[in-house]
Amino acid sequence: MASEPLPEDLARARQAFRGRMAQVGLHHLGAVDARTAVILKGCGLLERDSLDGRGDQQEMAAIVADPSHPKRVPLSLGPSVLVQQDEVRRVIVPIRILLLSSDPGVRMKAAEYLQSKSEGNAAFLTRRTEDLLKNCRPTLLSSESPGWRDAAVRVHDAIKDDLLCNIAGLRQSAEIGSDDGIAEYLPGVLRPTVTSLDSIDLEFWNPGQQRSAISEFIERVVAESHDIGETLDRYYSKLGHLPLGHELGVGALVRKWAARTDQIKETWDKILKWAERLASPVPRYHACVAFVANPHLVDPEDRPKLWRLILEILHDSSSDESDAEWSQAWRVRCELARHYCHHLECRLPGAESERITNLSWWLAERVALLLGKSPDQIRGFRTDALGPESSLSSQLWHLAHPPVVPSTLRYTTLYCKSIWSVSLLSLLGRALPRLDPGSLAAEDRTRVGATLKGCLLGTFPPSPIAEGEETYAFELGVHHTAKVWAEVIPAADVTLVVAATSELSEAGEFEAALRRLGKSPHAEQMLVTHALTVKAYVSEAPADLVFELLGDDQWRNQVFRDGDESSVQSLFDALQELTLQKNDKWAWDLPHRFALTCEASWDKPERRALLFAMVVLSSLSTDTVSALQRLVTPARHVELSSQIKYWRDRIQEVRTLAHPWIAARLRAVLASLHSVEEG
Amino acid sequence: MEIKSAIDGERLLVSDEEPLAAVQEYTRDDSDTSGEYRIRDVLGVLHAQGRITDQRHTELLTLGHRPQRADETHPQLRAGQRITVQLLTLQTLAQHNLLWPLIEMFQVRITSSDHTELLAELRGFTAQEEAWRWHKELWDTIRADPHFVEVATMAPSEWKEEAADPVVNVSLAAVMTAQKAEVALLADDRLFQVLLFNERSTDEFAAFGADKLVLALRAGGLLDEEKAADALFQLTSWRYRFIVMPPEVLKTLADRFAQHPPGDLLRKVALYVHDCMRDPGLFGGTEAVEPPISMAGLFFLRWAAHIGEFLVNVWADPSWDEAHARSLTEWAMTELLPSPPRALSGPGTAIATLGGKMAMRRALIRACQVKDTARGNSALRAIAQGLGMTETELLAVVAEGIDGI
Repeated sequence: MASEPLPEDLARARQAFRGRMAQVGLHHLGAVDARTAVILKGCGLLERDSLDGRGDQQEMAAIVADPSHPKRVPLSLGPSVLVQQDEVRRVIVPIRILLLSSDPGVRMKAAEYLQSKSEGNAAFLTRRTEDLLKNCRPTLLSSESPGWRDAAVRVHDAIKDDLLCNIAGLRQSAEIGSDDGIAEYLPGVLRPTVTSLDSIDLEFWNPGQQRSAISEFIERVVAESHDIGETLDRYYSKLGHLPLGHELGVGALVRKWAARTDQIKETWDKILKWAERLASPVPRYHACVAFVANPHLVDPEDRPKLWRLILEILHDSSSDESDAEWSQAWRVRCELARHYCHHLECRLPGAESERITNLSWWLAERVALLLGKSPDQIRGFRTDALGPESSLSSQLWHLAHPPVVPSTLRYTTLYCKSIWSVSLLSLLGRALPRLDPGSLAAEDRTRVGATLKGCLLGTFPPSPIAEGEETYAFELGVHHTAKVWAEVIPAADVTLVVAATSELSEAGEFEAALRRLGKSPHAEQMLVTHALTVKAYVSEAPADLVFELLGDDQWRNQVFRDGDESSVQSLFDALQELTLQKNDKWAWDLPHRFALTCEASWDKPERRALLFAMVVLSSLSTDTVSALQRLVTPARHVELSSQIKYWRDRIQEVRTLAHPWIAARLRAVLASLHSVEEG
Repeated sequence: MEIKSAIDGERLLVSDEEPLAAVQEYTRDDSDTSGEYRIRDVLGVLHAQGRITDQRHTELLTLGHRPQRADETHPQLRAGQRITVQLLTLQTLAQHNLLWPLIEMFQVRITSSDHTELLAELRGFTAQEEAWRWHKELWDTIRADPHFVEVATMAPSEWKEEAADPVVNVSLAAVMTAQKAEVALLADDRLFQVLLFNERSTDEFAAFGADKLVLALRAGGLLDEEKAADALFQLTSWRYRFIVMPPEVLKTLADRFAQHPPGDLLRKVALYVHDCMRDPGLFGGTEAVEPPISMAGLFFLRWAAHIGEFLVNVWADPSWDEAHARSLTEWAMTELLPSPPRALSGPGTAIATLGGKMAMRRALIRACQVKDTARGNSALRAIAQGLGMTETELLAVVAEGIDGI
């Protein structure tokens, strides 16, 4: 008769199974890292201490505890300390590793370092990590409780995941020129996890819904500060990463400051000094806004200087790789924000895009500040680090096209070359006559005119918001500025573009333009499809009409089979966005409409390839495969094999780097992307 | 069948040539039908040529819903003329024994698209016939086998009202009988299963489907691995939803293509898995179990776990060489591992993360039983690589696994 196993037999069996698991799981390794070692030791599978062979732990702890220790090399605050081992060798000591020491004294000194440095403004740990460290501290420092290992591993993992810690680690690594350190911390900075972002404590997450709170904040800052520089510092730390509208921006702040001070004459100098103090171009934007919103603070003799500042910001959007002083700094911020937006939308499908984009700009400014203002250094970062990452995040975003709640901030971040340029132009209109644009050199006038035309052709925002009601400066649109500009500096082309784009903001005109899209001239097709994309991204597109037109075989074939290719791509982008917002019938219908048109374009190989791409991408974003399965059959292998291979290769390239949610979407489509057995 | 025979015997030709005359009784109201003849035109010729009696002509006129086309501007159809007859019109004429008189009187053709449609209809008809034959064989087997006991429908007392309705009585006869007799019900209709599970919530075996029967027969040694795999695969091909194939069955299907993995069968299984995950019938709400979990979540995680175990089974089999085992593993992580159920669209991002982890954890446990440690380790690393896991992440999974025991 079988009997219940004895507890000691169960314990022996458990230990044997653990041993077997370690044997098979770690078979390929000669050694394990400290984290794994501490777990194995806790399970009785390792004899040695987890930090054996990593130097004298007590000495390291003493150096960590004492900033003035002779072996401690000065370094900015962060997750590591730098130790002068001997005359030649310097060693980087990551504090989180010391938490894994079996010596409670070493753990205590590591915990104290982390807690002392995370207080006050110099915090390099998020609140989540701070709280975890605080809660785990009694267990972590216990010399008897076996639970210290669990606590140590939890805190170790939280620190490794911590975004602020990774930013600080990156700064430290750059200071000491450690390529290994940069390689360790950069992925955490450029690909932050959702858990690490959860504890980022932005006071204003959704400015659109926190307008009164922002106004109160401005009132409070103005009332509490003794100096305009301090006022601007406080504003910059909370909201400086966003180009807010008249009443929420620096314009209102300076107006309110000016109303309660008798130091008006010094304001110009102080604001400029403040803007130049930081290694960021963003304060320079805010300085421009301060004066554009309060032109009475600008002496006539200072106008050329203000125009130089304005042109510096506008210049960025009009050339690809400008050598202007701040060009690289502006560019890296826009690219970082776009990258974070892509990355975070893929991690947080269904979330509010305004929160995501706000966080993206906050992160962009934080990370860009690490780079300083050296154009060469920034260019190097853009090319070597950000370029590949943003290319990956963009590819994944385009493949998955995650659904989010739309916002104007998201659209400008993703599609406008420079959100700062369009924002400044939007605010400029009212002040323009007082800034004497006629005094500008012809070259500068041309540049302003060209930037204005570019913004007008962007057809954003589709419905400009009345002054005073806008959250972001760009929501005002540049039409008013363009009209005023055309009055002061007569320019026929600007006037023409104003007229053409104004028509598209009329619902009836726009709908008529959509109906005749397939028969329109190339330029009109470009403008209308772009305008539709803008409207789709801000939920202002005439969705029912578009759905009706998509069901019309003749219209669809004229546009997608015979229309201009770049317009087709723009239209596809709009339809993808509309589908995600409308879901339901759009989600199952749209891929089939593309498949039908692909079949109707069988005699046009290039267009067939483009339409097949649309079927793949719309299937990915709607998580459907029936349209794809309709096209991908052995009978069509000859015509489609190269396209199938192309898309399989593209998806395979990024699959293992994608977040599991996207990887899962990719799997579902890959499984349907076979016509015949390869190889 | 008669029309098909006429085509096979080349008495009826398939041709897309522009016809001199088209006979088409059934057309959309808004289409241009000015050149088309009707059934009454055909009947007129057959009658005039003495092929049908006066009485039959009168009777058959009711077949034609539309007036004849021939008039002052349209000439009468002529005997021996080449005509194209619409399939539906031809079928109507054939049903009234007019196919052969028609073929003898005219050079009759049908279009290739009608021919294709005819063949499709015939295939459907053949399938129906086959199903009927199976049905008959099933009843013959049941009647001949003394294990089956025929009983009158028994309805539980609380179901008397439903049982009184003859329609309900017939459709729910099996459910009512199983409930009254307190026996398990074999039924593939999930509605019936749910009815019984609701009535007997503590009875784990109140109802089951064909998939469970196949698995039980396999477990009992009454069905070998090959036949069990075929049977389960057949059920998935018949669109039976939400079947989870055991790792051994997946391995049996993979073994058939060991020299060129994954093979057609597993590719179809992958499509099936993703289809199931997208199916709106997969419930995403949490069930009243401890701990609370949704059917969708459970289904997703079970598939992930079985795939992890299946892959280690492949690596554990020395007849699989490493290159093919690796190729299969990469494919499974790329295409077979399920996507999150659509019903879990909210928390889908979280459960997507769990899918890979579940596959990895189950693989780790299974790998402990593999005699060849190096192969077991290679399996784990191949799965981790397929999932895009770094060495650090693999170490974390192993350490968690060890610590969790």
